[in-house]
Amino acid sequence: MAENDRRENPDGPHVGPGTNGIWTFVFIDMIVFLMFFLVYLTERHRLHDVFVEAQHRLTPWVALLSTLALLTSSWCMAEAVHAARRNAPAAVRNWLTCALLLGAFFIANKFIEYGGKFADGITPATNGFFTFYFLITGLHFLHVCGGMVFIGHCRASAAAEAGTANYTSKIENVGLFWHFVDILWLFIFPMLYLTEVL
Amino acid sequence: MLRKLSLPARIWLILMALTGLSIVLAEQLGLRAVAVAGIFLIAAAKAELVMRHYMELGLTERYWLIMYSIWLAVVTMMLVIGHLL
Repeated sequence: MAENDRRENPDGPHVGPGTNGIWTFVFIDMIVFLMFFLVYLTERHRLHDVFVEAQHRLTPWVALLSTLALLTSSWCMAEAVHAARRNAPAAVRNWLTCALLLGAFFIANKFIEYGGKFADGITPATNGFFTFYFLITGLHFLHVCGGMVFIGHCRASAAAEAGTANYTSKIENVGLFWHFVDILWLFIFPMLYLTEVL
Repeated sequence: MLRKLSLPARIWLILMALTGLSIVLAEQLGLRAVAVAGIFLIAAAKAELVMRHYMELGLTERYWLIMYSIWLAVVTMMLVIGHLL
């Protein structure tokens, strides 16, 4: 409905965030990750001692920094969307730059984390836990990289396009994807890193 | 002072505070079952805040609100039960 309204009257009043297409895509992706979580839990139940021992070899504070960076990046993205709606291209570019820098921090942090694991001889083949650890965090990492490409595109086109209905729709869609990446991490962080700190 | 902040900024402050709370819960609480449930419920609360205020889920079609809320409830219950079994 919202998408149709915008198509029929692209310069008319804004109705609802994002297009139905992005809501559908994100939801399907969420279901895929839910399945990964389910299989992870099943294997964790089967190989409990292996998983617990392996979780103690992770570094929660590194993941905590990633959490703080992604949450802050999500806030910057939300501010960029609001700025785009009030047709403020300079503010859009500034907020998107912050979002990108924090995304880059997340990626650098992840490289450091993976590098530490490989240096310790830990690979996806080490045991069942690390197979899931690399699979889930790796897939999430790819989502972060994809999101950054989209944010970079929005930032590059802000000066020329900000204020148009198309640009608002585009940045809302990118924002929705970026927040979804954040939400995934909100569950990955405690699931992999926090439960065995207890 | 907080009133001068934008809504996304206020939500960000709450998200930071909840993240801090989950770390404290993970490190200090003696009761494992309570701590595990607490950590995942905090994660769910953070996800709900992001969905409602950053994704503006309440402003889109109602069926998305229902489906995303169901996903959130299912993933939270699954993670809590999966870690307590």
